[in-house]
Amino acid sequence: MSGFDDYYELRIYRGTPGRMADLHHRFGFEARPLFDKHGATRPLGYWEGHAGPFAPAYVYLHRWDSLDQRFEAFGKFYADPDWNAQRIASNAGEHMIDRADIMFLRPSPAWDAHRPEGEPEPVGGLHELCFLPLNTQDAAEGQRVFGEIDLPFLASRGAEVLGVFQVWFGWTTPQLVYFLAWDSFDARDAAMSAYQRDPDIGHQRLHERQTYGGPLHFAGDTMLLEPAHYGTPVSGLAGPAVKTG
Amino acid sequence: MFFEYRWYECAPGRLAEEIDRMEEVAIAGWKGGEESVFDRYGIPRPIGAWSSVAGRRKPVFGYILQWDSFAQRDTAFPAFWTGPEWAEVRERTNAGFTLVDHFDNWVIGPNAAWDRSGGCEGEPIGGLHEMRIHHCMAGDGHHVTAYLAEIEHRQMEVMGGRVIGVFDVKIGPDIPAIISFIGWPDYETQQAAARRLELEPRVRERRRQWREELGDSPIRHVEQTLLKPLDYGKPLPNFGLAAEGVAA
Repeated sequence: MSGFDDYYELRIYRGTPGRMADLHHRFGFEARPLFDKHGATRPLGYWEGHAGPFAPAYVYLHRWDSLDQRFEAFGKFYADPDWNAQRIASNAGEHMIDRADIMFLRPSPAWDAHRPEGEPEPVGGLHELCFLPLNTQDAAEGQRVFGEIDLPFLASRGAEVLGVFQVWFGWTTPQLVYFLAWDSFDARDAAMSAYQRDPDIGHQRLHERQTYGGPLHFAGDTMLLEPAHYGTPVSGLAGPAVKTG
Repeated sequence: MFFEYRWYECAPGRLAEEIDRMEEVAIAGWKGGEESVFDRYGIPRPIGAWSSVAGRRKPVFGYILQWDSFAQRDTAFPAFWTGPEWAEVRERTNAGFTLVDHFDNWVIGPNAAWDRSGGCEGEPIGGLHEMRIHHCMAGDGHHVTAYLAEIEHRQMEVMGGRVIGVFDVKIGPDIPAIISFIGWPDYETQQAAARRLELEPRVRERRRQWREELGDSPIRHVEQTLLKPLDYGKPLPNFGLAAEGVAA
């Protein structure tokens, strides 16, 4: 069972157009034995995105018991001549990755009430990766409100909560980062339209402005993602990604 | 003639109110009359208005205005801002707190990749819209324009998209940048097209040519936003702009 002691590493690659298939091959298959060899954890999910602040995007998520372990594993991996040879060969004269956003995350208390029960199962459909900067005046209250008011609203309209995190290193803090899954784009669209016009949500935001002079969270980036067939996350991100296709 | 691109980062929870407020001042007849407040002050109605579904700094509300001249714009807008109607609407709809945290305000103009030979007649375009902003290496914008016209936009049309408009950012941050508005029937078609574009051999071949001729790609990165056209802001084909209506 996951808890606050876990560390997560979110890696978002801005892919070179035309190289997405090569990225899937590299991280889903070719480089895996080298990651395993050097003690890296198996990622909890792999995604491809064509709807977000930049496109195309390739995303994966690790869980680590310790960040020291993480740096040791990645250090050995990067220093491995086999990786360098593999990288140069598969790049084939062109970088596959333009830029990368990499951040360490830890579970948010807002996740607690939304952990799934029962055996983990692969979660398909439309996935959504959202960033939600928090008001520094009371970031803890911002997380509580998101977990107790906003998330239940979305969950009751079809969102499956995959994970809710707070930024630990590498990105603006305080900030929530969360993954949701939806049956379809239309299901999400209907839920978001209802969310934007819900009077109770509106009252909560008004209460925040009256209390703090502004809302408890601010506008953030949203990416729509599709899980890779070789790396579909399981419910609650409770274990390594699974093959579904 | 120029286009004004206005992009509003709304206060969380208040996107719907911002959308409604825009309709009240720009579209709806003022106090039951025929003309809107925008009409009264000589501000053109938006040629397109959207809310964002995915992308940067959601929730976003945006619209585009087409002006004859800067003199027209800088007479009409200040008169509107200082007029009694806007003061009343703003006070009432803000209800104590602003609806908008920030907004961006760019000057944009037609890009050479915008082929309007198909005309501008027809029904307003609904569905799901995709705004793609190609940020270019300085001095290399024309290479990206050629790529969009010859490969990317053609491929999107084959996959069910409609090019609604293509603009250069004339005055704005992080330029040179080219904005393409693509209309899709739905999300699934947009996604299938994006995946197909990834596999398009002409994209790979063009990138190889760029490396040979330029040493690098003229595209620095592509920013993407999915938009829902608002009921009152669905653009006409080619944003209603006739092919011959634009001076070079």
